[in-house]
Amino acid sequence: MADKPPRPALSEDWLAVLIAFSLIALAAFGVLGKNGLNVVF
Amino acid sequence: MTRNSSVPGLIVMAGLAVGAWWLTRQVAGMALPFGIPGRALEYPLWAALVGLLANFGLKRTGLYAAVEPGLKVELFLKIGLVLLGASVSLALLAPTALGAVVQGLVLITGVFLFSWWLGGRFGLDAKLRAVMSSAIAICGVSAAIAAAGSVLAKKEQVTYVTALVIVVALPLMVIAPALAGALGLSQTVAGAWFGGNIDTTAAVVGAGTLYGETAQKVASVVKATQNALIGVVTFLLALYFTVVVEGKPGERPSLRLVWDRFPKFVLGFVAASLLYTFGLIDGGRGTPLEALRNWSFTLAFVGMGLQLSLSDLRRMGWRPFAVFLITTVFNTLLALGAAWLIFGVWLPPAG
Repeated sequence: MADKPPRPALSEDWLAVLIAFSLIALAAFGVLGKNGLNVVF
Repeated sequence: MTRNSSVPGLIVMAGLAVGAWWLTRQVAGMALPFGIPGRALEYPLWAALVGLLANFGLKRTGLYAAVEPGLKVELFLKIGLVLLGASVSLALLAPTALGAVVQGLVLITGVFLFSWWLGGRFGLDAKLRAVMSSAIAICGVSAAIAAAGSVLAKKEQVTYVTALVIVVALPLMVIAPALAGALGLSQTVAGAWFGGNIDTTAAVVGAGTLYGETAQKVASVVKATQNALIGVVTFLLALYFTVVVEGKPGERPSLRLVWDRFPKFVLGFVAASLLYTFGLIDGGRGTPLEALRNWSFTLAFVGMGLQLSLSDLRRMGWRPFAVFLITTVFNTLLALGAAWLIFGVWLPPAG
């Protein structure tokens, strides 16, 4: 039986970019903010 | 849940971050002794302090090993930095990055060579000198890890330098803004100084935050630019160790190493900055992105306090410690001169 090819790993840098841009997209579409989930600090 | 699960560490970090946030809000309204306004003591300070206290508590109770795999300091820091890009316009980014490249070249070359030379005078092993010099000259922990990969350093040399970086960076995060205030430095010069002087990116962001909004942005851009030069340094190190130290003149490291070591989050920062400049997104004051950025940084500062390991410092004796401290003083003075000349005299102050 052939070995499964290794799953490509996402580096920490790209993961950070992916998470940050997901948050940016959520804010841009209004999911995060006054009319959605209002995150405060 | 597996033995090396990140979940316990992430839960502890989240709880401590909320604690640090609560503490910041409580102190903000107080008038402290010596007329210090509570508002001046911002969240990086409390987050690092809460992390340090938890660090000692977890080690005393034997729970630290369960938490350690989840201490994703660099991840939260990078998320915060990309989100910071969403509040930095090209009008600030372009001149700051230009000055940062010049400053980075001066500091990386000057500080690396000084540390390398001093380490030689103190009789340090060549690989430890390479890891330590990269950490001080470029960007702390991530540079130490990258350099260790290039010169095949021992794991304990990396953990030792990592501990040194944090133990020196934590007090500098507080002392540098206080000194900048006493010297009357502008936000831009101070930010450039923190970015060039303090080793680890988390403490650079922390010092900038304590000094002011523009200082935070300038410090982050300067440090991110310096981070971006890490690929070039690790390539040159690999070349030097292959040809000179190990005596294999026929072998050459691949130029791909420069790209492999390039911190890709910098691309995310620039992309977010472009979107902000063209008015497509807003991460400025009072926005959800600003709040998320502050939460990311708080998690990173808490993690920095949690990661400090004093036991790693005792292993190698006083010589590397002395080299690190003397080089840090050299770096502080050289960075101050470079930041003042480049950002105070040559380039106009960024708004």
